[in-house]
Amino acid sequence: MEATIGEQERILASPWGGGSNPFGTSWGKFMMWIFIVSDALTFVAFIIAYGFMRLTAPAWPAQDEVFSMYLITFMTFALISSSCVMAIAVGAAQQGRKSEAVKYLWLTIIGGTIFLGSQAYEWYHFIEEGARLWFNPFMPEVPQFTAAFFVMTGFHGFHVFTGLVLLLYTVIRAHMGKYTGDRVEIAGLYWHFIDVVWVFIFAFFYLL
Amino acid sequence: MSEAVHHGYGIYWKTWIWLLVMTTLALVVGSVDAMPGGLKALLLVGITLAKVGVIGAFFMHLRSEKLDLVLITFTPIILAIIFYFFIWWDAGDSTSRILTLR
Repeated sequence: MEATIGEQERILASPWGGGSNPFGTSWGKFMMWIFIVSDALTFVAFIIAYGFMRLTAPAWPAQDEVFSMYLITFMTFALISSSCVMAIAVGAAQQGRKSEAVKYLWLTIIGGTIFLGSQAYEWYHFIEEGARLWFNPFMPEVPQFTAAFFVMTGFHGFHVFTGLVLLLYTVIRAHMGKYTGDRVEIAGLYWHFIDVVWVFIFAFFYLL
Repeated sequence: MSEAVHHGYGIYWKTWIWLLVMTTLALVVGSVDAMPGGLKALLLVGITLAKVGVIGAFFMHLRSEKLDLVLITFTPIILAIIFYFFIWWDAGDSTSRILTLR
């Protein structure tokens, strides 16, 4: 028995053994990273499926004729800026500057709301023009175009909505005085992940 | 203290500027119709990966995390991308076929 415990301690002390805190993070932050990895795999599947569809499609509509690139650029700007103020909110929260953290959290929420509102506007007009999940009015022989659009931006938009709920919860808790820098950082990680996903959709769906 | 704090936020504003610069670059690359598709795709993938790297390193603080965390974050994603391409020869056009059969 003694020998077994000694053996375990020897393994745990090794560089890959782990020990009590192998990743040097709180459990909450580590779980958020694990969640982000699994969520990223979902979006990897979407983007690869989109790539396959794009490569096998007989043609593809010109995105700048179907969408307003000004709106897309504005949405991208809003989301990147909200990601920046979120990072500042995390920095403020970790330094214990509560009022500053709350201010920047609200700015993040405003940025996210602008993005989501713009996306709702985009969807409204796209659907009004006749676009459906299975039907592409701009090029009826390529329904892959609208299918990819609705699935990718829909899933991303729902993530933005979820992120806003998480941020509202965090900021309300902060107003109540029940907050820690770690909690704000966990919400921030999710928010930055949403930004990362949009960077991919922006480049591969709208620009390529 | 105040100076230290401002120094602490400066990195985020700088990151933001860099992200805007790279977004503009991506927009320019995307708008040049004369560019060959392969080159355009390569440039856009490069810019996108650079943006993701910057967001991960500075906004998500991966540059100050342990290497173990960085490795378990990226390894599954890179492997997934490689594995998906293994099915290209069998199922590359299946998504398109399902949609056009309807």
